[in-house]
Amino acid sequence: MASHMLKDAALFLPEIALTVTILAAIVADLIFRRVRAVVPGIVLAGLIATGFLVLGQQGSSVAIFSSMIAVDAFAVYFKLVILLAAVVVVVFSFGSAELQTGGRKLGEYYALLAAAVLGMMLMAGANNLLMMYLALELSSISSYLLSGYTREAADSSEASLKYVIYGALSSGLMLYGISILYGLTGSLDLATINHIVPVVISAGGPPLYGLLIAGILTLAGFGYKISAVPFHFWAPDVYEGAPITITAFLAVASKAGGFAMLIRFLKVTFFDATGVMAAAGTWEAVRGLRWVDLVAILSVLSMTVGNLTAIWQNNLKRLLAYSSIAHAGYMLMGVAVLNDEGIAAVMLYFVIYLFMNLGAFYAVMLIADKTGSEDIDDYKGLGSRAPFLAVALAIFLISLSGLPPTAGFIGKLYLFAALINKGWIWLAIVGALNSVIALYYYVRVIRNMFLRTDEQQSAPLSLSGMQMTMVLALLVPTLLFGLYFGPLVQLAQASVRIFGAP
Amino acid sequence: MTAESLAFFFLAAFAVSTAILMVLQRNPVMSAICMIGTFFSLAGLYLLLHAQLLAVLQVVIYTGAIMVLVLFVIMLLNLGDEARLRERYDLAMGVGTVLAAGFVVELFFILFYSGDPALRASMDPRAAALGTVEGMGGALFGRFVLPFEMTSVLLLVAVVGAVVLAKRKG
Amino acid sequence: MEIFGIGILSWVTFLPVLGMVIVLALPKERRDVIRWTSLAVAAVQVVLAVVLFLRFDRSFAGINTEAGMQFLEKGRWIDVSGVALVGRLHIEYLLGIDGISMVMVLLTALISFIAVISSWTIDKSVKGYFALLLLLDTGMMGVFVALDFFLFYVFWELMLLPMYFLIGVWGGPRREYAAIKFFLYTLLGSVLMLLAMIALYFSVSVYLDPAGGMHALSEAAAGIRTGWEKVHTFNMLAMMDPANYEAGSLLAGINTSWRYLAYIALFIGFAIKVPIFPFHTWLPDAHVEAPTPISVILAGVLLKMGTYGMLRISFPMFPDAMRHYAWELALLGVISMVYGALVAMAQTDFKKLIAYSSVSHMGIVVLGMSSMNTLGLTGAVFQMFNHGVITAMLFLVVGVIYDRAHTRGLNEFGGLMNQMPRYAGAMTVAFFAALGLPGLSGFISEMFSLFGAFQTFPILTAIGAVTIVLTAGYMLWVLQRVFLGALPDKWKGLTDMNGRETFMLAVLGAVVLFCGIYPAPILNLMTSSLNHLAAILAQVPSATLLSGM
Repeated sequence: MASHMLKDAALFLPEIALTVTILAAIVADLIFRRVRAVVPGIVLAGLIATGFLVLGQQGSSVAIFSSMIAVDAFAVYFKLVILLAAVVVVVFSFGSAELQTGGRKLGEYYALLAAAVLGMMLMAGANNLLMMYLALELSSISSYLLSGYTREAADSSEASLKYVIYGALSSGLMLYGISILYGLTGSLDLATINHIVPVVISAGGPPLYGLLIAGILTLAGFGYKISAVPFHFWAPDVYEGAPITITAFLAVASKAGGFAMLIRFLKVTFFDATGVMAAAGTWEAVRGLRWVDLVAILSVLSMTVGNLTAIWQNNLKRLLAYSSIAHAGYMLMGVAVLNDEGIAAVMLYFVIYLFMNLGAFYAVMLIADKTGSEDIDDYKGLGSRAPFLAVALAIFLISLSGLPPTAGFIGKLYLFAALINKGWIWLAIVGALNSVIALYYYVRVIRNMFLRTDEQQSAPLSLSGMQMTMVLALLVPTLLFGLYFGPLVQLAQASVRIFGAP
Repeated sequence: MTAESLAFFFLAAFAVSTAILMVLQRNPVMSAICMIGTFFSLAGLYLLLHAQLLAVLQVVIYTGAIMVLVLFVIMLLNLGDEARLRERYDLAMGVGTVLAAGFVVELFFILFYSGDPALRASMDPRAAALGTVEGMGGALFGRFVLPFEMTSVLLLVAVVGAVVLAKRKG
Repeated sequence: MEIFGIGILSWVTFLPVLGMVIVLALPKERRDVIRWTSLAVAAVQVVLAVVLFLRFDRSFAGINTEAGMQFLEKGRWIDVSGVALVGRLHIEYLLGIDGISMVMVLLTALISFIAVISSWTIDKSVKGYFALLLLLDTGMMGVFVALDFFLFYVFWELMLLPMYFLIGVWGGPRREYAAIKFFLYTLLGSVLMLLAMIALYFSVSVYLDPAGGMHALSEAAAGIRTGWEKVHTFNMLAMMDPANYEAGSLLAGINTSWRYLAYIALFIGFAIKVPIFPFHTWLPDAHVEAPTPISVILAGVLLKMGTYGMLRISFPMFPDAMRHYAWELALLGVISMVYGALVAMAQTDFKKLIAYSSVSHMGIVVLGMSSMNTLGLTGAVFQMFNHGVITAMLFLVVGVIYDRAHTRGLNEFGGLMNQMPRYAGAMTVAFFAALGLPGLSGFISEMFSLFGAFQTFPILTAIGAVTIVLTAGYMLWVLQRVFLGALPDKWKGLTDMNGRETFMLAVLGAVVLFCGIYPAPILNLMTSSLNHLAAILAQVPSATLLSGM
């Protein structure tokens, strides 16, 4: 038993390294109170080291610790996305004026950030309902604290409180769903549940409804994490109230964890093990359950509500919050397809989304740091005041709206391709129309930056070399992957294998 | 009706009614005391499930430690009666009530009728032995070692968070 | 044909991007350097287009065969070996031209060149303006030379953003509204096109040999050779071969409702660009607000991309659906013709009038295309070219008067004939060409279109022919209002055209005159291609064609 665990622990090294990082950050914060760079440095080094350890896991496909956590290509991919986002956010945070002016020590901030990352990484690998719940809670609790970290303002407290209450409600619902699922199947292990689900379904009647309700309740937890409509109400307030670094982190990494967990849950638990596989990569959901329709409805709601609401937003953070709700909707389209092609499309989208969304948030953060405003009216004339930044932000927004030759287009293309290939034409049309709506509000920002001028403010905004590099580091992939996306596609397609599923 | 099911229904009714009372009470101290009642009946339910350790832990930790802490805080802060938050009954509330009621009915329907023998047979046979100290320990440090360890990280984060929140007041 | 190891089509397409990079690298105070750089780039592009024109082999048909395409450039762009279901992803960098594209390449190069000259008066952020103009140029040229649908789409969308800024930043008072309207309309069309493109992608398969060569599915009947791999493709030419459609795929077969749906999706995408009634409402706004050079490009080239898209993509890929909806297409063309002319007649804003006349003239193109015979198609493509040149003249003419008088109200002018004789001459040529005076280019293409269409849809064409009278009416009325009558006192100080303006109008006027007297060089370019296209359209059996209407 002990040797078995040691062997498992070897595959758990990235998470262990990250835990050590958290502890080191907390201790270092106590010792080096004066030196600002120590804790971020430790966390950054820890994240990068973890990243390398994750890279070392490529090719393995096992479940460790009594099948609690799967270490497979799929998990590795999402862990890398999460870590990359976290590294970027740590760098953002170090340069953020907003965080410095809070007058608070930032040691715990970085430690909590690392803890949130740990939670999300566990989400990416969790192969057991209990583990899923724990991972969700770990990342959520860290996120609650981070989102209310700096500001003492009333609206920020309100946002934080809203986050906690919605989080508690959603995780409560999810826990309830898990308990019903456990009651019906006698197991928390996804693969085991998969064996028993057909029995439950063939029993028909109330157990079947029980399964359905359990699934819906569990989806509430996932929906909350990926901020899909109708579980999204917390997102705009939290995104607006939280420090912008955390907003960016929540919009990308947290969503990645949520999606990884959702996909694994749907795929491993509900694929039809008895069905005849038409070809590798296609799989059928167990008959009798219309999960797919449920996800499709969530997707349509998220896209449409997110986009239509975003049109009316004047605060950039809020606008991006609604846009990220809409993006959750786009990605759910890929999940609804329920085959490897759709999942690969979602995974591809995530990497692209990482660059363009973090880029947009970073540009908004830099502008807010310099002008002190996130209001769309204060973006007037930025095209001439800060040409580089304005052009960069414009490109990020255009990429978010999915126009070529940016990477966002490739992401959308893959999602639509997966849909059309499976015959989901109506959903593809809804998604396509939504991207037209989305363009309208992204262009509002661009319009204010370039087409309008602000008479009062005309002083140029300057960027430091570091900030410029950071913007470029996010901008180059956003453009490059729009023109040359082969390797990215290859990576996503190769990482689609999930342990315990066909 | 066996003595066991009699005990179950008694405890269950007690748990639910004290829980409702806890929410309805205006006085925080009374609420806390009602909550203790719920915890006790839950402990009783655990006993019925042969989960002796869990029952004891329930009493020791929740009823003993946590509730004392809660009461202590309430008295320390000298909280008065809770002010009414909302008197209005608007449409959303009405719809919400109907939906919630429907959901409860649905759940009852399912839970009462899902006694399929095939499903019972699929239950983990180890479940029955889980309630003992030995079974619990074995599970925690065997199968569930990872969740157990991760819970400790979760608690660590909670502690750090508590410190962060406490510091902001100062 | 290659220059420095890079194909001439790549040069002609990406030269403006090169120019853009240079412009961006220049300091923004060096306005004249920026202008001359852009002009040089546009001039070289014209030279390259002329080289293409001279080297172009008139006997090649093109349309749906790789062998029929000229100056072919082929390269691997994206190649991802397949994993399981997802299959191998193979996107080619495929450029090539046939008779239809050759004409458009000439037009694009010419109009871009004129637009750069016309942009000399732009004073606001010169650097940004020319950078965007050059980027737009690449997008336009790319659309006309791309033979891979994916590449085509990228170029198609590439134009949107520069156009948005060019109208939005340098436009008139309601520029924001016009710019976003243009943007959203076109995007709405192009997302539908995107969905149709994806559907085509999954319906079409070809065999790929290890060297990267493509082989039609039918070739495999002779035996699949080693190393051949079946892949989906965005290659337009492969999409035109019915044998490449996999049985059971979405768009397989003929006259299926999925094919109709895909055709309509493509049609809406292209029709918005043309614009065909009822998708035209963005056009007057965009034209009125856009600065003169951008109006010139918009009317001269951008509108042609819609009809070009139909000829290049919709017709050869969906000949069955095309025939099925030919009558409806002709009807929309006729409505656009008559409606555009009637609305133009009611305008008092000079620019709006020209904008609506564009709707009317593009209606002729659509009617000509719907005829499905060589005559009508030739008329349509030639009309695309002529309309590009003539409308460019018209907008320049408007620009000249607007620069001086700062108003476009037709009723405010009068008696300018003696005040601005050179201007009067240029404008008269442009207007006579637009109304189809024999001896000028517009006449030939309009007649071809109408004659061709008459063979297929006599009644509709007869109704549409009324437009010619209407056009003559409003065009002459404009001339009368501007040049005849008494000269208002406030216009006594107007100066005649300067050398730059005269040069632009003279160049375009010469083209109009030349094509009107001796159209053969242009017509020769496209004859074999259009014969071939008409043959493709004729091959499809159709029970639903409403002949005799």
